[in-house]
Amino acid sequence: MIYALTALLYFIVFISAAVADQKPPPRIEPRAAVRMMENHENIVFINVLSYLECMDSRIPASLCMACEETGREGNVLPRDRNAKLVFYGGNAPVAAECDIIRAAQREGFAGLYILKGGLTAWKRAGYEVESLNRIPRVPAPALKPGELKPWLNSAPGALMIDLRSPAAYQSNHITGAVNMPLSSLHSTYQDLPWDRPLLVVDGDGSRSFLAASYLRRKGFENVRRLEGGMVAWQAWNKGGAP
Amino acid sequence: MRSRSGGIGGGLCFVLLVCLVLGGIRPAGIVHAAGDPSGAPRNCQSCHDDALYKAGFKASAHGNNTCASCHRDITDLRRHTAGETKPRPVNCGSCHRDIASRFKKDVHYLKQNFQCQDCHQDIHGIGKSGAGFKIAAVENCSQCHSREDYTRLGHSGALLKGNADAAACTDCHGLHNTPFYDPSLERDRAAARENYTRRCRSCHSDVKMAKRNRFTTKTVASYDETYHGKVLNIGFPQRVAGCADCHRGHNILPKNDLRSAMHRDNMKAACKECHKGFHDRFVSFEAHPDPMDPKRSPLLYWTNIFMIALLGGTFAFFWLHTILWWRRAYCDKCKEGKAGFIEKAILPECRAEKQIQRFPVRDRIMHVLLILSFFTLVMTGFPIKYYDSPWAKILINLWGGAYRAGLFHRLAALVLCGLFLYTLWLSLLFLFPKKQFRGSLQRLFGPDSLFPNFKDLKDIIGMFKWFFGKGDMPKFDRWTYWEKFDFLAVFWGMTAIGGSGFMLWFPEVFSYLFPGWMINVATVVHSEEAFLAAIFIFTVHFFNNHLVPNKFPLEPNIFTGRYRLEALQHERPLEYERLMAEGRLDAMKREGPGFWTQMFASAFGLASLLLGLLLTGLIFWAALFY
Repeated sequence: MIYALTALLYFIVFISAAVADQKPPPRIEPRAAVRMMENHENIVFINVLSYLECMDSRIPASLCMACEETGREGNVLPRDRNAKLVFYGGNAPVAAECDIIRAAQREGFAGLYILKGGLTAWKRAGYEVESLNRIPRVPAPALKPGELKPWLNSAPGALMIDLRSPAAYQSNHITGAVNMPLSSLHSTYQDLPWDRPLLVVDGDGSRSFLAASYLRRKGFENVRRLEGGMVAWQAWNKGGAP
Repeated sequence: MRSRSGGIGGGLCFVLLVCLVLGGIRPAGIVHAAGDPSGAPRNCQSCHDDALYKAGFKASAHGNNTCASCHRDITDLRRHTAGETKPRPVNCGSCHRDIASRFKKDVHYLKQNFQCQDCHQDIHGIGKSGAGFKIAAVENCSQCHSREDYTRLGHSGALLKGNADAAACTDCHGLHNTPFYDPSLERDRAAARENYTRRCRSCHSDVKMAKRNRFTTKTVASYDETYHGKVLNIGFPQRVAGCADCHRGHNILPKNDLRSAMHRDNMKAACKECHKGFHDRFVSFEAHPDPMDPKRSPLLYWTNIFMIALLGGTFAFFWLHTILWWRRAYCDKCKEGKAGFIEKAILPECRAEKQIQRFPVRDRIMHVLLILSFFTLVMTGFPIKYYDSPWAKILINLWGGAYRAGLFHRLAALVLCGLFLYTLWLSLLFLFPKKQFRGSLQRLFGPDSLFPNFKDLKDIIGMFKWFFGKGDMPKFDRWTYWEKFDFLAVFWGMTAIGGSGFMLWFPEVFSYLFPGWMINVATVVHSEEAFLAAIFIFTVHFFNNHLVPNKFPLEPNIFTGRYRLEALQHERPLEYERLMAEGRLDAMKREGPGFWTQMFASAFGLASLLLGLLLTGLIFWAALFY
């Protein structure tokens, strides 16, 4: 009996801890974050987009820690556990299962927040950003999902690059696409074939433009992107607009 | 082929080239150049000697500027030429302040961190704005936005063929202020709908442009007359279709073209964005109806004609009736109250006067509810009907916005329907008391019935004779003919307004019974019948029952339930005589109404009258001037 109760207690504690661990941080408006800074609270902004995106544009003095960059988080998170961390991405909501956020939760920081609306909302609220190594944008023609098949027929050597995380790629991807996460593109782009047309595909079409520009700047001449990303691709496959 | 040069970008940042090739020029050269337009290019061009910088730049929009007027951070030429400093990006906003300010809200900046040079890649050869601006804009945008259907077809197709009136990307999406709308936020979706509808309207309501391009501006006007248009215009674009919801924006083609968003098959998909569970015939709804075109929509046309005739006939008769009555009554009043009218009664009624019970509590409550629901319907519905009048938005905001006003409108409609059904039930009980069918015909045409009979016709004729001094005022029984009209008009009105209202409330359900264009018919009926009901009540009913000189300013018996015996004798002598003959009068005699009853009757009655008259003024103002 006592063993059963102990097991039950352990189970409850374990489940509670697991649930608490998974609870996403509260969301905070840009204005509220700025107010905290003005009140001299110890705020650290953390950009969870890729290194390329973070260098291109970020909230001043942010840390760059891509969600997918596992294994490094323990070294780069601030040492001061009283710091309040504000995580932000682009326009899309930051995923609660982001590795960096989980790591921060485990470390026991005083306050963890997710910036509501991400960097876009920050800019929209009129606050400045900094660019440490901006990637000049280069025209990168877009293909709509309905145009993909004809394009592949006309360019048989084309390579589709899925810029999403390995987990997202595993869950679904366009047949023939290879996974090259945007978070590591700056170090892996040289593995790409220089003489083949490239098509970059992301989640919702908002991140592929920067990737295409980066590749064009690096010398890849024929780079296109899938308009609307995988969201548009899946919608089109379900019979949506071309 | 692998290219290490960086392609287009290499030609853009000429300051980087400066770092590599320049040397030996004194810093003073640059500093001097900043203040010397003629000297600066010459100095810089001694190294930057491409044709672009020599000839192209001079002919460009910035040709009168010096190099240093933009590249302000290059102040130390020695370090610049030695490559010791990295030129910072040019701040175009230092001159183009307005554009820079607007660009902070541009989607390209917000979502993609675009800077000026990303679009203006040929900044050193950029031309001045001119006739080719629109085409240049399309070419520039479509470098990234690969909208094949857009650049081949529709607006842009016409533009590229040489029609300068056709919309370029920037006409709809703006230039340097392309708004960012987050599709996950309702307020952004609504703002987008409002913005794009406004932009479509700016061209499609332009009479001169319409004449040049042989399209009609009726398109906008007719949309504005639909529920979609009215609700959007009143400031509630959240739940109605704007232009792009149906037309989709980028494939404006004839409706028989399969690629057109207006093709029947594609329209169904567009309707489904908002409407669920409708029959296929739902798509025959006319988003741009023309009630004056008998060929295009015959039933709509004839419905409109019928409603105009109904309104015209009703108002012509009753307003004439009212004017003549007022004239006669006013003359009589001047002659110290002759011709059967009682003396003016000042509110509240004197308790000492003998009174009879005319309306039971049930009827009084029903009338109060009727007034409340009717005013709610008028005050929530007419701002939509006259959305462009100055008072419409004020009134809608008093309700807390169009959405809440709509909820109140529907709630009031349900109350009115409840009253109507209850009245119907009471009418059946009156005709068939205790399920007795015998004698129902006599009851229907009897003196206690609100159904018209032959005597009413004689009373109308008699009344007109009295108006012109050709006879005495007719002797009335319990109900006058105008009271019967008020009562029966509700039956017609409820059928017309209620039926059409439910069609507008549940258009998808009704699509299983009627084709979609019946919604257009319902809109006309609902709108015109509402006008008829409101103006009839606020003018004819108010005059007949309250504002006629012998009753002015208020006849409170519908609120107090009591009727002065003297008034009964004078105004309804036949009923008085009948009650006397039947020996029922004594049983109906009551004390005068209590103080609070009189206070409520006076306050509520007068407030209703004043509100009704105010609304009449507002409605006429809107109908005549908007």
